[in-house]
Amino acid sequence: MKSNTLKPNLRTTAKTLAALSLATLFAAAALGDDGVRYEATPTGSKCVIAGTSTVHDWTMEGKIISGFIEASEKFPESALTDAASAKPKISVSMPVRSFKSGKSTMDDKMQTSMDATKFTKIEYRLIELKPKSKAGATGVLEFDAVGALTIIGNTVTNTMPVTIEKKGTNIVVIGSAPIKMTEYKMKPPVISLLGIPTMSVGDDLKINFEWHLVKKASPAK
Amino acid sequence: MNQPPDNAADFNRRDFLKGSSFAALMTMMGGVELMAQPAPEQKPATPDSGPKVKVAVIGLGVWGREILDQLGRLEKAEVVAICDNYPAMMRRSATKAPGAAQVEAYQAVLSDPAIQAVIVATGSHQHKDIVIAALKAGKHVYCEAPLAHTIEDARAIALAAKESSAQVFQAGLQGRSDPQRHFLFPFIRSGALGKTVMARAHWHKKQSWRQASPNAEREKAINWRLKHATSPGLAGEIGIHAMDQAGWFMNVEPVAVTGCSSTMLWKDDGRDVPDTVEAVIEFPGGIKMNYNASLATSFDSENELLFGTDATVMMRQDNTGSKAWMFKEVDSPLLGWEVYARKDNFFNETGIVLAVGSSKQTALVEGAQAQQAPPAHYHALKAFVANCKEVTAEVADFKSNYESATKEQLGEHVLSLKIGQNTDRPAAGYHEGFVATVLALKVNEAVTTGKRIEFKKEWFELA
Repeated sequence: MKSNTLKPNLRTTAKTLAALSLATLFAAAALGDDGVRYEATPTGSKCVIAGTSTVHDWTMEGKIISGFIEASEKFPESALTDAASAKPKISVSMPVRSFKSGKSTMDDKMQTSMDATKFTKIEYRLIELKPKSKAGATGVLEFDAVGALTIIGNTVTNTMPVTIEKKGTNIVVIGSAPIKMTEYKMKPPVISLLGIPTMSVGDDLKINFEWHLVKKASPAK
Repeated sequence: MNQPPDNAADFNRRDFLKGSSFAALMTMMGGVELMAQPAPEQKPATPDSGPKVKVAVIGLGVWGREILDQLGRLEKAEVVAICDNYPAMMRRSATKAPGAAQVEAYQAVLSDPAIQAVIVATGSHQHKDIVIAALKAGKHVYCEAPLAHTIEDARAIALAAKESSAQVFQAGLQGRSDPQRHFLFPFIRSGALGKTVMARAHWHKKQSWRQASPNAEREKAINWRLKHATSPGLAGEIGIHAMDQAGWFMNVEPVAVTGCSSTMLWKDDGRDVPDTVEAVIEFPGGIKMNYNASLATSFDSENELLFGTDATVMMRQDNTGSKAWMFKEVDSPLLGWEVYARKDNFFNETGIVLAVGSSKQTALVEGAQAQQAPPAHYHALKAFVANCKEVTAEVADFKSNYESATKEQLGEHVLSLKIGQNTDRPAAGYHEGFVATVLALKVNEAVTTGKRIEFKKEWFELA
């Protein structure tokens, strides 16, 4: 009985190890020989959405920004001169319900407007970086980031100014982008009191973010 | 522990006299009512996003049942279990939480993974074991005030809550969640009362505090408030709210307390907890707070006063919520808004009215607002449930987005959200609960021993 249960386990383990090895090889190939992967750190990041209304300006803040950057070893400096390096793989994800205004009613309204139970995430995928800093610059480097931002299932390509700074094994990306709700087929909410509209939210939003990542240890070769 | 509100249906002549004489008093003194505009309880245009918070109530005494009543009004809460080891309490509570599981042992509640939050409304001396076990089980916890009947137990609870930073811990200091008090808070802190002179609060309810019991064993268990070994007394059980509020409003810590007590009415029934207590709490700058509470008289029910050189604020609360008035000194500067503020002006006589709402003043004081202002503990529970919902979602999102994150990073993230400090759902956390408990227990010690106690800073520190 004992050997019968052990054999399938060994077989399963061997299959798993083989699959993991293949996955590692593919990952290494995708990154390139000198490719590195940075993953979002659990603390330090934040994204603030600032908006207007007929009554007052408002902000919502989310502190969960997950995702990764897969780039060359010398990124971001390499992106100033090398066209291939200027197209690192960058993927960002933010849970919709993690955005908070400090007022429950507004949070509920926002989540309802964004159909947060169906479209749970705001996602971003970089297409390319257009350098603004001069070649050879170091420290805080400036780019225009061209990427695809997906909100409530609608994807719009936009360009936004960003700075990218490498600090040892960490990378900090800071940026901002004006967007319009209607671009993403969102209807600006109207707050009603006793059935009478009392506040209309403006169409224009500004997104400001600070994203912290840390270099992931290279897989053993 | 808190005192259940009087039943509105039991409005009687004494209530009338209390209300009308109070209204007349307001008139004579030229009271300007300070009233937070109650936000209408609107139904959201669309259903609330996400599932409800699954809550269990542990301890189904009078206050536990009052909590069930208020939970029943909350859209975001679902009472899935009620817990008490006394079948009679369970029976009385069953109709307030239809569909909820009836559980005798609290351990069974804590081992149920479907239950997200527990409200601990047992005797204060039973809080520690339940609260610490609940936090260890990963539950969000609402612990009634005082946190415990000893400072050691309260510290253990507060430390356990501090370590459980990815869970909500709320102390049952409902005044900290009351919109009326939050309306007053900036008003007082802005110096509108001038220089603070003194504070005064009282709580008077002629009642025995004794509950009927079928046998000696149950009598001991159910009447834990009457024995010094298990009871924080009137100062600890009731006074904690007024004392906490005074320190919070004035932003001061107590220096010393002197007290005295006696049993004036409920003699020879085996209790060793006095039915009448009085304390003078000293704050920095010579400010003193006089607090008294009695189970031997009901006159003037309860109120809190904060006296300033320019004006005095009076706060009162009952089952229709909280109210406050300001009484200005004749030589105080005119505040622009007061010209337009509503004032309750009556003649200095009290007319007898036999039905609530049949006089202008009673309608104003007791009627109109009664329909709009839920009691403070409703707001406290509402804040708790909303905060539980937010933290539960945030923790789930954090874990799914950062799979390799540590427990410490999760705790740091949740702390950064400043739960309980949101403008529309403020709540007392473990620190406020601990500080208030230490203050109240020391006041209880002073009134029972008759000794002056000087507060030490280390009593309020959490190691």
